[in-house]
Amino acid sequence: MTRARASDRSRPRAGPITGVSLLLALLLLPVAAAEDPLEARVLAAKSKVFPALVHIVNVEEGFMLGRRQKSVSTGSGFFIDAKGHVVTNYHVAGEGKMLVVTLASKREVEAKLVAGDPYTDLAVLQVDPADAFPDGTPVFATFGDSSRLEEGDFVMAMGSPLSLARSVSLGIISCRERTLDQLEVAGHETGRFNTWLQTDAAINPGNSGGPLVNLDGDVVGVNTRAALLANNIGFAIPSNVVRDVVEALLREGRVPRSDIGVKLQPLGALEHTLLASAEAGALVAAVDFGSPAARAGVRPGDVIIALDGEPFAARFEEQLPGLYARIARLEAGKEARLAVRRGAEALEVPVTPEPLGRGLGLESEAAAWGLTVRAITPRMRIEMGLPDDRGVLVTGVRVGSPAADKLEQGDVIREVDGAEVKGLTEFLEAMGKAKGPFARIAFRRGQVADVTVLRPLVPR
Amino acid sequence: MRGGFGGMRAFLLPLAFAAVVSADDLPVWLVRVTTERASFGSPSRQTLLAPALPVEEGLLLVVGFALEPSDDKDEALKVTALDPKGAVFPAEIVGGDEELHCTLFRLPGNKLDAVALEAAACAVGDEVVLLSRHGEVMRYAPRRGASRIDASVASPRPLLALEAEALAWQGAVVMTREGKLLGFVDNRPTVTEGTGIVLGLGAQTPVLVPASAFADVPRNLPRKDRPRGWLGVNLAPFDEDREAYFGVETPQDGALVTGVSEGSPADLAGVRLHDVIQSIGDLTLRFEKMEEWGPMLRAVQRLPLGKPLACRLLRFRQLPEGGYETAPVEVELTLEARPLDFADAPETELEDLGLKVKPATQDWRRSGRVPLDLEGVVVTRTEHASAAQIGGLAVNDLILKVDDKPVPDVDALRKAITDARAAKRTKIVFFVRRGQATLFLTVQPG
Repeated sequence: MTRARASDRSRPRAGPITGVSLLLALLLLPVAAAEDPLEARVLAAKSKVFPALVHIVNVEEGFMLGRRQKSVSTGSGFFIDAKGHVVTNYHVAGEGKMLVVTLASKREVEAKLVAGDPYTDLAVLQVDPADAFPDGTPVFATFGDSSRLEEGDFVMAMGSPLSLARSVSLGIISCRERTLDQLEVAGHETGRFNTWLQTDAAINPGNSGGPLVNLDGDVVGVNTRAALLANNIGFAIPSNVVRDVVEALLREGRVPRSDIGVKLQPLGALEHTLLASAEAGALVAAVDFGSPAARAGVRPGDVIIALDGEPFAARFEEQLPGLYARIARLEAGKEARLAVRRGAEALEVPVTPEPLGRGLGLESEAAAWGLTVRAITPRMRIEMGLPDDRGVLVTGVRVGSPAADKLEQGDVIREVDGAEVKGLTEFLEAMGKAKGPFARIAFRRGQVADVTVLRPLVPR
Repeated sequence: MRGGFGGMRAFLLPLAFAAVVSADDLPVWLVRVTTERASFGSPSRQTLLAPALPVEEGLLLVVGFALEPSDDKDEALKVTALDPKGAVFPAEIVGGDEELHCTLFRLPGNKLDAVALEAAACAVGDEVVLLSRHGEVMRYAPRRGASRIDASVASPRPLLALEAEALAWQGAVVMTREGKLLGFVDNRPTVTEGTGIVLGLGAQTPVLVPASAFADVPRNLPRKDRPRGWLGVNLAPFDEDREAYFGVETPQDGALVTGVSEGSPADLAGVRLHDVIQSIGDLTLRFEKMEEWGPMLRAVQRLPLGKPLACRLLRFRQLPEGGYETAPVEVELTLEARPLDFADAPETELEDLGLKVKPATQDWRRSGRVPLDLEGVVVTRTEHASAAQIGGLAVNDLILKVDDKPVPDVDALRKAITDARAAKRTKIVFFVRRGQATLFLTVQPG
């Protein structure tokens, strides 16, 4: 292997040499052994994590064009304990149905999904330890402390770029607290509660879920995203976030989070304006309709300066995820105190957080009608401006099906055969009960409350 | 005017015929519409030239096409009118009627001697005079032709067949040999009963549409300067599927109400969601296919405003055992003027910020699912690299407050910005609603 850098190559000392012989000599030079301390550390770190690295092939069910469809995707992951738990991205395997993991030894073994957290784009799988570690010696990676990273620290991205398993790339931390706006993973909001590590270690599709490793061989991040049409601008979830999320997923199968229903903005941009009524705090940009904050009387334009007595401030965008994470850690149902500055007024606002539910509802297929539908969550209601969360959202209509040209994506089915559809369960029940030559459907399309009938292609 | 085309008459008309026509011509004008738009870097120009008849309300009527004033910013539109003496006047499009295939033009500051839109008596076999444009004239230059009424299917609406090529005579004014108005040539391929014209003879066959068919157009054409009738409902076709939904077995006229705006004429009259409106006054609503939407909408818009009209409804009541019971209901409905549409709302430019805005009209709020009681001004454009764009304002943002002052309308927005500048504030804070959330933006005026 060619490990030496050109500058380190030793040169022959003897006598004058011609150009041709110099070239020949250079081509035939023996390669120096790894003496560079950096290279030695890279090799050591690689050797520590590589055996725990896995390539993941995921067969998942999705819903496209009005029908349930299977698709195959690949990604990366790594063992984190002797029980065979594997950490990867939610978008790699968080909704997986059949998971096959290729170990560092190139053996293929089955894995099952333990739990996933779309808000941080993380998922945990498990491989039977007997399959994962057939020789009885567990190999797994350990997490480092991502808060100690600095821009310029060397890191390695490991995984399966373009399905090229067991690949390593080397780079540095380009920025240790990047915020990315408006991110979604499989339709779920992601990234509200964490900043991202930016690295120039090459990350390509397929690297997702793989470890970002420091030169001590500790996992400092999970490679998750890369900027398209850019040169090595990749993003990883910091290991401190990963560790907390994984612990929660293993402990209770989900990450308990609370919400009070506010969107925050940093105060920095508002310095020297009429609104800058507080020196430090976080500006309330929006209050969700019907949320705990709305009930408590919090208004857009308020500046929150403390939460439960602790300072609460964001001057820059990068500080917001930390504030959202603090709100998420509040105990649902237990009153919290917001210190708020409203113009010249200082207010103490008690607010009772609610559990933060799923962003997206579950999806299902109504095959007889040629439809796919999704349960409507409170978050979807707010973001879609729906009057309430009753009904099911049409997510796709199959061409040539009974629903074609009658219903369309975005419609909300409110009644089936006169029975109110409260949610997905009621919809599927009503569909099962529908008798007669056609089913009567009442639906909303934007502001319009329309009706239609669906005639199954095969008479019932 | 007669002297203007005497020579041409001798060329085109049989001599015996010409002597009669020269007696008393109609004051036929010409209208020229030139549109110019950039196409792949070079301007593309189109010209329409048509004979026009001065009608009541100081307007010019052109048959053969329906034009609306253009909202397209990339399109340059030039409209001129030439009087029978060849004098050129600037003109503007008032509006078009797709159904009757005609357009009205206005000459700002000009009063015209109106020709009554009445059709003189005529019969099959009568010889008639056609008066149309002549080529791409730069000055007033009509041409004339003669033909004969070939058939009459349903008197008094005669059909005219011409030996001349149909397209050349599209829109021509048709007169009797004595110079009395008969109507217009329109070779629309699809001609339907009940629209003032009785069936067509097929594509490219010129049909004489009697002048009386256009009699109400000047008064009733939906125009930006004339209020249109407004019900305040969303309507869907009452088709086979919707009839089946409510268990209606015999096909019924009418349109299904799928939304009622609060406080609208329909709401005040007691029209409810999922009623079927069958008639309003003398107008029977037929809406079974989407193609019928336009004609129905225009017919409703032409109904008289401010006058109570009997409105016949079908109302459904859900039965406990399932299914629906149908009952006819009559309510009294008084149409109001249609509120300003977002498309028609005036756009204001705040040049120093590089920002264009419009008032938040009701239709804009409804389409954006914005509560009707939320007052603000809508961003319609931000200039490239302007203070507004750099500050993050985006098209469709609803500006609610500026520097913490509510801006319910464009004047309030203008005043808030003027105040901020007068106070020498370097940053102006905009509070906007974007989608379903709100946010603060800071704009630094240049």
